[in-house]
Amino acid sequence: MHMQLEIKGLTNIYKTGEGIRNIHLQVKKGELLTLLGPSGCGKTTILRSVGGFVTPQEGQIIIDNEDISKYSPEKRPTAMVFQSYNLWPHMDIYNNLAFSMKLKKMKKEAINERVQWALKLVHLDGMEKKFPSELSGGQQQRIALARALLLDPQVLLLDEPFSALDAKLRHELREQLREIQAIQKLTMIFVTHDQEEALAISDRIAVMNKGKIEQLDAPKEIYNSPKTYFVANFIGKMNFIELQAQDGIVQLGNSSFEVADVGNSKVQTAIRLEDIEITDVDPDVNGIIKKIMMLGHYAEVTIQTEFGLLKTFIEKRKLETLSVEQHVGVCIKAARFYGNNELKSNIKRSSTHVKEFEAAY
Amino acid sequence: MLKNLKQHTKKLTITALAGLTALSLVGCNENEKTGDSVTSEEKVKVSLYSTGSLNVQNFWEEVIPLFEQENENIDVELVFLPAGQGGQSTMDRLLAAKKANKDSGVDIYEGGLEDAIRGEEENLFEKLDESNIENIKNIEENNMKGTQNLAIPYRASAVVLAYNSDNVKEVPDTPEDLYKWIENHPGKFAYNDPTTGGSGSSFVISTIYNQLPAEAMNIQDESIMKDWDKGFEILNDLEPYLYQEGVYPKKNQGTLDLLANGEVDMVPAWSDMALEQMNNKLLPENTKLKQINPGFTGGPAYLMVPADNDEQEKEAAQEFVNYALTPEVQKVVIEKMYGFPGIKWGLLDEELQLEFESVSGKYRLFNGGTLGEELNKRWQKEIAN
Amino acid sequence: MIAKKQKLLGIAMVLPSFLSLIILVVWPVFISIKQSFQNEENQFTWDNYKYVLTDPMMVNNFKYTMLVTLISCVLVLIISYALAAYLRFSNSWFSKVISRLYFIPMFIPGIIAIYGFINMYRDNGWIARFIGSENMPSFVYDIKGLVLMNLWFNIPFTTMLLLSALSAIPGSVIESARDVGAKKLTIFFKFILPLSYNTLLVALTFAFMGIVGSFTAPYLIDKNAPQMLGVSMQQHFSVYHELGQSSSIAVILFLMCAVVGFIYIKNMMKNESHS
Repeated sequence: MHMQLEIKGLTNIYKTGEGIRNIHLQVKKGELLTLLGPSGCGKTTILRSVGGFVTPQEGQIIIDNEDISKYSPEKRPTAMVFQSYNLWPHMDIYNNLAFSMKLKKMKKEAINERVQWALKLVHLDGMEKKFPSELSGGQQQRIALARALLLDPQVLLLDEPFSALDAKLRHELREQLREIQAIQKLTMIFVTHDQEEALAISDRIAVMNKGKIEQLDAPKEIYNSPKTYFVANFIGKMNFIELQAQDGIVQLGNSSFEVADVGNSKVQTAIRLEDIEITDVDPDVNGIIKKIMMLGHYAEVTIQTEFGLLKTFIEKRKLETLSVEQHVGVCIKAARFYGNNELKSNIKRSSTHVKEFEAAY
Repeated sequence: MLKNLKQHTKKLTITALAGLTALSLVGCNENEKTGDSVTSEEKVKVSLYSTGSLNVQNFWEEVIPLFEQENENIDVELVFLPAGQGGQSTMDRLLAAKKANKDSGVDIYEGGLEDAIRGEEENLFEKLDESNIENIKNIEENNMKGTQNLAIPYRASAVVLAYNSDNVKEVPDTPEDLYKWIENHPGKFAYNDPTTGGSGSSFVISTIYNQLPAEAMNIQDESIMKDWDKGFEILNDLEPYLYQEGVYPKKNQGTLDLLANGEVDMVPAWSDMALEQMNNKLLPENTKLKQINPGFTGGPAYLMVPADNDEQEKEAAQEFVNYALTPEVQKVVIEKMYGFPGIKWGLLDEELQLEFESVSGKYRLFNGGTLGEELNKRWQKEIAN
Repeated sequence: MIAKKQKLLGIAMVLPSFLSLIILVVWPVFISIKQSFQNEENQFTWDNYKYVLTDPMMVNNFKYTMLVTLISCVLVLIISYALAAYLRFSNSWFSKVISRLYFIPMFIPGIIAIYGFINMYRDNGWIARFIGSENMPSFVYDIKGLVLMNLWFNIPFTTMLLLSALSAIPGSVIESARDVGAKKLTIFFKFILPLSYNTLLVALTFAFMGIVGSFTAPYLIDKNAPQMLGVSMQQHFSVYHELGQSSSIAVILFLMCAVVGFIYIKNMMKNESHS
């Protein structure tokens, strides 16, 4: 498979101790790879290293089989869209867009044509004469995107481009970005700390923590099987229960799980909200409903159990039978176990099986 | 509603005005002395307005307590305006008060002879003679000439040459010697910008009037201005030989500074300023003073008593002027101020007479009135360039 | 009622500054303008302006004032801009030290600075002692000294203004410019300079107004003629007692400042719409 971008052994550690350590990444042509993580995890450092704004201590950056590590930003085949203050306030939109082409001494007609093309692409035709301050935040970021696209970058870098915008606008721009990517077959690295945004937009996500990549996978994989406790914690909503394993067995209410190599240590049990059901038939654990929070077509229900508070999603029409302080049974359909930040494989045993197992002794 | 508003505004305006009035009262409380003498029966308060260099201020601060010791019922307040900061304004104030027929608040005024003459038409100052100021008899009679008894020349200072005695071996005796010395020692002589200080002004006036008959100094008619040409020619010819080929430092102190740090070897300076700084070691020990012949101009400082005082203030003011003419105060003039006494040398200690021999030569008086300003203007146009 | 009260409170709060403006600024300015059109008998006359605008000495003074002001302003702006740019874009320890020291001259009283300057630069001053007085060009009683002194007085504040303007330019503006292929010189002339242009104009206005009417420095440092207008005005006032002439010099100085102020305001209004 031909790789548009390859990052090899990238290391850059700041005086504060933060930074990135030995990062390896490969991005395919036309792929949108998201770097996701909390602030200070090193995602922006990777992005800026690719763009040439950070000179890493070690490592190589290869675009289209050419090592570009030694080039300054203006010589790299990359283009960057920044978080905010992207546009040049003293130039009108036309000049913001045309500047790079003027530097290349392109002909005026050609520049005009390209500017029109770019404006059309971001649905902002007719804005040439306006100044950035006359545009809304969303429009500004779209112009910034258009400006970056006009560079014909081999890799487009986006540094939390939508984080300063309100939620609705963010959704719109995400869709637009996906649309443009499809048309232009762009290779993109997208940095964000918003896991929802990452899940929605990416072909693959690299979840980062403390300068390392914790998991690199498609959004579905990241969501369904977070490989580390950190990823589980960071992506989506989860119930977490700390449990004591005994001889590799973890007991969760009436269910028990055989978990690989945990012995007698403590394990973190992670349960997705949608994997918890309220049921009368053969519940794993009993509890009392403490809170019902409407979230549109579904509700988040909080149940007090012997493991602490458990949360679950309930469809709106099933809600009618439930009320606060009601005693209910809870069934846990799936659970993941993490020991020492690592995901441990497990087999669920039926409650009877457990009893039989005990009886055998 | 509207009425309410109006009242508010009115109150506000009154408050603001009251505040302003209070401010202006703080600003010129010395104005507010009409009827003051009635309320403080035991003490008469008089204000002495004076101007000049620091040594003048120091002098008054020495003399006033001495006077108050002897006259316990008189309280003298010194209002001192440093040179160049509105000596003129005191005269304006007196004239304005006269016009408005009010008490100016100035009870004793120290100024120049031109002030006394200016005030003559308006009857600004009181006539003073031996009948109200006994010690006038101590004054050299010559010095009282031209004052029309409106101003008392209680002290004087003169401009002399101050030089570095290590470097200057042949000290000039006459103006001609001096010009020759300047030409033979280029860059080693400086006189200050005459518009900024009296010592430079004296050098310019002396140079110009040395070319004219002696009595020319008393002519106030503008027709004499054309006779200045020869003197200006000399000043122009001297320029290339002066400090930095014609740089005239600002203020009397400017040239003394050049002498002190060794950039020049000779400057004209006020005798009192130079002596005081020699005494305080601000000028090096090798500094010496000499008066040439004919001498530079100098001049007395005069005390005047404005005519707008009430009886008590008038008496107190006269008492003070009389006191300034005692040998006691005159000793302070010589010792602390390094000035020339206003009274006859013969009335002073012999020791003192010896000590100040070098500078006690005759000085000359320039009495050209406003011609002095014209002279400055011409100097600025023709020489400063 | 409450609205009325607030309105009154508003008026009451402005009143002191308004009154002091009237008493301390407007009224004296009015008096000066009036005096500049009066002769000694308080009759109306154009003579003062005729004198100030045609007398060869005054014309020279006027030209000289403009020369000193322009040279000083240009140097102040160039040096301050270079200094501010260095402080903004360099992270070296040296720039950190300088950034803490550069405004110190603002805290040294002017007159002390001037005498210190004279002792430092006069023909047998400290520098002359160091390099030998024969190698020492004349600074004191020379236009060079005056310009140097103006630099001392104006660079700290101007640098402070410009530094704040440069700091307000976001890093991403410069980075995005590099990203699209702009080299250092292009970045300076197409981005940094235009984005700090307004502040540059403010700084120029301040420097111009400060220097054109200065008195103490030219009085003590400069040669005797030609004179800066401030010195000449003082001379006409307190040496020649020519009230009308000194007032007309004051009015002309005021007009010079007004012209610069007008250019500044016009430019501000032009730029208002863009930013």
